[in-house]
Amino acid sequence: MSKQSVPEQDHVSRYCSPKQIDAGTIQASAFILRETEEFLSVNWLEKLCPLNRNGQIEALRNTFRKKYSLRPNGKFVVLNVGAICNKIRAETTDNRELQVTYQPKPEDNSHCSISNLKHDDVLIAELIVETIDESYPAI
Amino acid sequence: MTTAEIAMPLECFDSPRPSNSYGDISLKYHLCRPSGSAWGVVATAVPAVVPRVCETRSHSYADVTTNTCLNSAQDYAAEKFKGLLNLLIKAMFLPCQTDLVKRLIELYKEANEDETDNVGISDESLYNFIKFIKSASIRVLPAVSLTSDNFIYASWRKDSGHVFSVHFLPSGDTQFVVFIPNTQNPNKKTRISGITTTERLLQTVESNVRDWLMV
Repeated sequence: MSKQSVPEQDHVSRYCSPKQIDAGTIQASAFILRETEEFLSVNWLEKLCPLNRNGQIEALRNTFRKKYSLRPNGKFVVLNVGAICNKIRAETTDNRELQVTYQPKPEDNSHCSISNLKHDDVLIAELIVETIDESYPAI
Repeated sequence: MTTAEIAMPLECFDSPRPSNSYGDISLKYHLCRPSGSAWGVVATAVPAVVPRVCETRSHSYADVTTNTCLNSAQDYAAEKFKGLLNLLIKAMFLPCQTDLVKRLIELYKEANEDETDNVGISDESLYNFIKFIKSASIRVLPAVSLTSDNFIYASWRKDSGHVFSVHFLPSGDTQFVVFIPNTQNPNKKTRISGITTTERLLQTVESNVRDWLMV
């Protein structure tokens, strides 16, 4: 199956656990790859049935509850796909092209990946933080 | 021994200390609590005799062998964590130093609660962070968080657009980034990033952070 890119006008969300939030502020640590990861996992909000943001986040909460316990002080952050791709392209020395690709999973139909990150990308993590549109409580 | 050491500095916390705060007893209880997943990662840091016992992995708390092993591994990790906190406490000079200790304890708890493959803060990463804090004449408390691998990520920010963030790796390497406003072109920022060892970090970034971060 060919990979589907998420349109630039659409939005993705990433769950940030409390250990990645200091005094209510999302830290760039939420966007740093694990040593064993090849991409950042996010969810395509427009792929979720409700068209309004609150409904999308609630659908996302339900999806995550099937996988593991959401932490009370965790947050879902919302990112515009075009905004992060354009910012990273414009503000990195190698004009990095991030790819946001739809990769559904059996119990996570809106799952996507942000790829073309490297394991030393502290700079990119900090730039992504600057593009955060909104955040919502995980619970 | 370690409990007594950590109990004394924790008296420095804002008083009165609530009964459920980070006293030695509640900390001990929490750090020893089985979290049910992937404790083998912790076991790798335990003295040689314990991993041998830990080879049979089970999530059943009724299993005495597993429970004993789990507690030993987590007790050991807790002792190491407390030892590192004491190292920080003894070297303290930051204006809000107790806040930093509180934050690290919060992160330790969160890291143990997280249902991931990594349990607890990486002690090597924490050690490198403390080593940097001790060596640098930094007077501003950083925002401290953990990456998904439970490595320390410290970030200093100033409203004017200054950012200095460091990812402390267990290997002793650090990945850092510095953002500085461009006074000649307000729409632009200077961005510096790189990798260096903990020992060289201060020397590497000092000229870019001295005037807004250091004594």
